[in-house]
Amino acid sequence: MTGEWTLIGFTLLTQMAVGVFLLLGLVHFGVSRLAGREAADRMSGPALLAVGPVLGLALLASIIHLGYPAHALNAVNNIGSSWLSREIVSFSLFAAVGGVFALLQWRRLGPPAVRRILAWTAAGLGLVLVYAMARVYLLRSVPPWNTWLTPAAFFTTTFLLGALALGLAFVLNHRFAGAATLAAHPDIRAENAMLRPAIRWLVFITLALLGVELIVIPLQLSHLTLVDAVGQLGLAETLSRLQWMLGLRLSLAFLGAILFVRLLHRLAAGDRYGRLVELSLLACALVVAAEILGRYLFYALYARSGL
Amino acid sequence: MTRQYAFFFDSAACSGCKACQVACQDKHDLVDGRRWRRVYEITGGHWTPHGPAWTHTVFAYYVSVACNHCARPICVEVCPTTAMHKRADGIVLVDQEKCIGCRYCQWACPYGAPQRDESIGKMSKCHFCFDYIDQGRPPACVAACPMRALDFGEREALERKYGRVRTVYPLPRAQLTDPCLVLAPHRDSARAENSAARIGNAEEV
Repeated sequence: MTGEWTLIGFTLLTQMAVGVFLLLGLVHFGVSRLAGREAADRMSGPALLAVGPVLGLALLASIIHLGYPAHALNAVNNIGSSWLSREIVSFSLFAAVGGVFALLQWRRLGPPAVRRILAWTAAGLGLVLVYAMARVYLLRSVPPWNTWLTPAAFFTTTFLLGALALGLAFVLNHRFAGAATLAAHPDIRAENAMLRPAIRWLVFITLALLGVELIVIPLQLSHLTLVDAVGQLGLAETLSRLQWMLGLRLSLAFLGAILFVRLLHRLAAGDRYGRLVELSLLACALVVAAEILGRYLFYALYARSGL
Repeated sequence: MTRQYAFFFDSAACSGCKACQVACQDKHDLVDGRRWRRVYEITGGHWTPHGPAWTHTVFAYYVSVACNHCARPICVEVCPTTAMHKRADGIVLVDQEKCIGCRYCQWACPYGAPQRDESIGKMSKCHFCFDYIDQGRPPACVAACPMRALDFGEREALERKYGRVRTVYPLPRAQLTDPCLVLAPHRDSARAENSAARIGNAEEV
């Protein structure tokens, strides 16, 4: 199945949103221990609000995918047996609880304990959402997808895209919160000092996840042999047609990893301005492109049992 | 009251004329390339020289497939809207008042039965000509077959009459969805499976 652009958009955007939310929680936890809760709140606030529009775009893509969008609400009817219904329900719950949390956090409404419970609930729902998204593809009649490698790949992408988006936001923050800004707003010094270690940790996470993909991708390919004869013919044709894309996808991820290592060097050298933004942008663009091609290939290498 | 309708298909008798497919397209006005019933041509074998003579192992046979109104229908399981449902008599139907046209049933079905009607953006499929069934008439495909290769009826009665073979190459294994299909396989079907024979008319199905 080729050209599933709406589903590529829906799954990648949703996973990025969940990844940003979860990693933001991790960063918030770390920063509040090192620099206090106030600094952590100020540092994570804008990124938290950015999750909303990403989810909105994902929802739009999912609706464009439908042949008859006017009936879209029916998609939650079969929660008792359809993972697609469960995916939509968990998407809605994550968006609702995450949205309420973001609003309260933004306006500093309600007691912090309530906000904390909401944040933990939304994080849990995010994990459930990515799991449900993966289960949609575990169809017993579609052997290439029907493996634990599908959830493995989806969770890897979730944290990878989350780390990239969040890391890039911090890099831009780091770059543009210059000496003048710091002089004018002495109160942001604490979290500004936290940006550099946060970026470093997000790059470590990125590199580790690119390593995980190096294991998952070949295993997924080896799984293609489980399709029966008629499906094999179609897959062989698809693979020979899209071999260049697989090569490009792996090369982009590898080049991205090299650039991220270079970025770590720059950060360690204390290089404040020198092309940090350009380097990060390029590295992120390469890995994001690799993820888009990877998801394209995931749908293209669909093959079902039988006819 | 019938508890589970089923189709019978005799692969040994089928001549590949596609009258069933055309009768189906005609009755349901499938003018946009949808084929609720399709006739697959399975072909293989080769010629071997023996001195001045040649011997051959060439074979071909046909498999006519529509929806098998499975006892464990994966389309009904995965449909997010409950539009895909099973009637009391076992016929699997799409309720287009509920369908959102997401094509998830199409991904899942190992027989290629659900197909989207692009003019309305909703799924459609073989419904066993339930309108004819309700009038006591046979489905259009069964009535059209000049070779008497197709039959229909209560699943258990068909199994008593024709046996319990439920899959033939290149259909999927029956355990996937428990299809309500009774088959008389062609004599070359085992050879086709062993040699992973190709579908000769892929552009037609």
